[in-house]
Amino acid sequence: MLRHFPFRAMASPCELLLHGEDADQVEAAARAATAEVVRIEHKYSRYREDSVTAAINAGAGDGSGVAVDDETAALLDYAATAWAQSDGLFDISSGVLREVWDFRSGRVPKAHDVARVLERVGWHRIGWKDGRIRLGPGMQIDFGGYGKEYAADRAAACCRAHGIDSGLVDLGGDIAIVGPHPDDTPWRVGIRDPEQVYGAVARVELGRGGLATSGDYQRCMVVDGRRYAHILDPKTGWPIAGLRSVSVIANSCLIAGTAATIAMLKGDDGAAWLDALGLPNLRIDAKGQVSGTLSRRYGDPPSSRSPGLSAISTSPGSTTT
Amino acid sequence: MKHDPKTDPKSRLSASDALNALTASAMALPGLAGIADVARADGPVEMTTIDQEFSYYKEDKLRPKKTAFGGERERMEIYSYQFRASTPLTERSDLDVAGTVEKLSGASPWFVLPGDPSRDNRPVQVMSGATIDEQRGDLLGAGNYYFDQGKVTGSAGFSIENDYYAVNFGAGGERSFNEKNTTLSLGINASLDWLEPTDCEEFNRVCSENKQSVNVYAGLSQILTRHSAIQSTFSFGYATGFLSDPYKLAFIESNGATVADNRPDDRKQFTWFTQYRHHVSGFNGTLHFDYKLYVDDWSMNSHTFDIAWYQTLPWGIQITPNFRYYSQSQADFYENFYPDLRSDGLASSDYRLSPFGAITYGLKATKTLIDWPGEVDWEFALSYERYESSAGMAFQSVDNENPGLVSFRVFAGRITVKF
Repeated sequence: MLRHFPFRAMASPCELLLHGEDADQVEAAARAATAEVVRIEHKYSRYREDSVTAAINAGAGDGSGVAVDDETAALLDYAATAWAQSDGLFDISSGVLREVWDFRSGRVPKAHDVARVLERVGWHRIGWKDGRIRLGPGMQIDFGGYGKEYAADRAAACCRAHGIDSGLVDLGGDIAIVGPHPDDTPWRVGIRDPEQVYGAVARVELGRGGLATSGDYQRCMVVDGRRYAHILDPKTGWPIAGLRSVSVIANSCLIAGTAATIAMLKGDDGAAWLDALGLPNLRIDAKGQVSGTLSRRYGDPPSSRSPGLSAISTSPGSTTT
Repeated sequence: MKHDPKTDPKSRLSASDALNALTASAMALPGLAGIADVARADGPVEMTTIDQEFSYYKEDKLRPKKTAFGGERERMEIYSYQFRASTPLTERSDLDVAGTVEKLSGASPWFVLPGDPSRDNRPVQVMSGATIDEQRGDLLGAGNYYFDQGKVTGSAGFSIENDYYAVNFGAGGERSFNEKNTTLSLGINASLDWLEPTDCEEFNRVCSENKQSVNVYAGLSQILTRHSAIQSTFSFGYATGFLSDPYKLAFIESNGATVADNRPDDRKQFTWFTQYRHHVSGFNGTLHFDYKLYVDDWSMNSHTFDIAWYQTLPWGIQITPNFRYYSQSQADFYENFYPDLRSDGLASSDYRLSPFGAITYGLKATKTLIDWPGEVDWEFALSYERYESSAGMAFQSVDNENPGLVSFRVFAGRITVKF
């Protein structure tokens, strides 16, 4: 029997879809998975004063640094790898650029203001060694770029640890598979454009691993006829034009999300980089054109879509959410 | 011209390196260790893989002073072709097929004579008179069926030489626990062998013999930290039947004659094998350290220490230097030659039952091409290995070195295709 457990976390609508005959077991798994997501949110939220992120940021400028636990260390190692593999584009210290980029204001910052903030951006300026992280004065990090995807993988692992081997975790469109349906058929997941209520941009089958989407969700800022995307290049401090949205399938939601984020940050080169990576993907460019391996294989005929995707999981045969 | 990463194979490779690096790093996160091995740990292989390896094995000639007749005779050389294919069968199962064809030629040690007291009094090797020239082939098939937390495997195979036939069967299973951080494996293998030595009447050899063996094992693998894992396997083997070497003799000093190699008709063997892996992310390399202890009821024991460094370089290249040290004690009935026939009639002067130590050093280079050309992955590997053995390298001190101890080198090239 398939049970739905909707909840809200990480500023997103979330849902667990779990198969199981034993209602108590399924509920115990759902409780544990939900608690795990909430635990990760609390631990890494940059808005909470008692979070690890806040503690690390509070230590900025302190030469001795902040000691972190194993889980945080592994996440920082992961950030270091992603930074290196993306030629410095995936950068967990780029958040301070928001000090000068206020997309609601409709104002483009002055170049010298951007340059000044940029001095406090860059993983290469951060000391990360022997379990201690040292931030320069005024620097900040946050785990927003991959925390949700990590939480999805952890929640799926939690379900499996509770003996549930068939299910799906959906954290606001970032999906981690617990395991395929009891008859071993994969989950059919629609990559859907929320503004186009009819139909999915693409429908994909997932028996394991994860799917994640990175996108310029809000409308871009247009100033004097020029479009400014929300994606900021941590190396220049300026918006990157290119893809509007990227969805990727990988062995884990975390890797899918990182690949999608890096592809977005690569701008016009993102599509080619994704193809080279060899992971199934779907992207929408600035003109709304849909491309990528998933659009060819499973997609409805591509048409002009507005940006912003959410993934909706459905059981086989069903077409409703 | 604009650089187009889509058609530039170099850029494709660096992107696949990126995926490998991210996967390795994500695996270090708590609870996500299983993701890279999804194909192996959770389910059947997803791509068809065909491995082909050519190798050339060449034993050094014995030095003249170690042989009875000045010995310029070529020792063994083996040309070998191996293939292995694995392919997904159903959603839950896959199939492995592996085979070998070998061409062997050269002389092998026959028996050992006492040394000449007027010279250094060291025993000398007599090599077999005829150089053999023969082929050997084997074929093994295995099927794996995967559950969510493990798998079961069944296998069957056979081996054919002009004087030797064998069939073998195996069954095993794996079960993982603790969010796949711990894996328990159990299995059993059995083999039935028949020998029909060539020229048996001419050389007064046995003409038809057989042996049977069975081996059971239990292993545990454990992910220790974000960067390290250990696996330990115990195995127990029992063999019964004709365990001697029909092509070897032993020399009896008292009557100046030789007797056929004659070993006990059963053997119990115990092995403890432990592998440790440590990934050093700062160097993008992985240390492999293995130790093997072997003990049997012929009083033999051996220790093997193996260390290798898998260094990942850009452009899909991996370089692996390795070093191995090996030391064994002798079988209790072994002698270079016998003053008198033993009361139990056992006799063997086979260097493989003698006390010695050995080192192996080698280098392997592999180059991977992902999705190039088309949706095909390629891997090319070249390797060289050198093995040297002597009594002086053994743990314990050895009075009489077997003169037939072998040294050899192996060159190998492998091509792997995945599609």
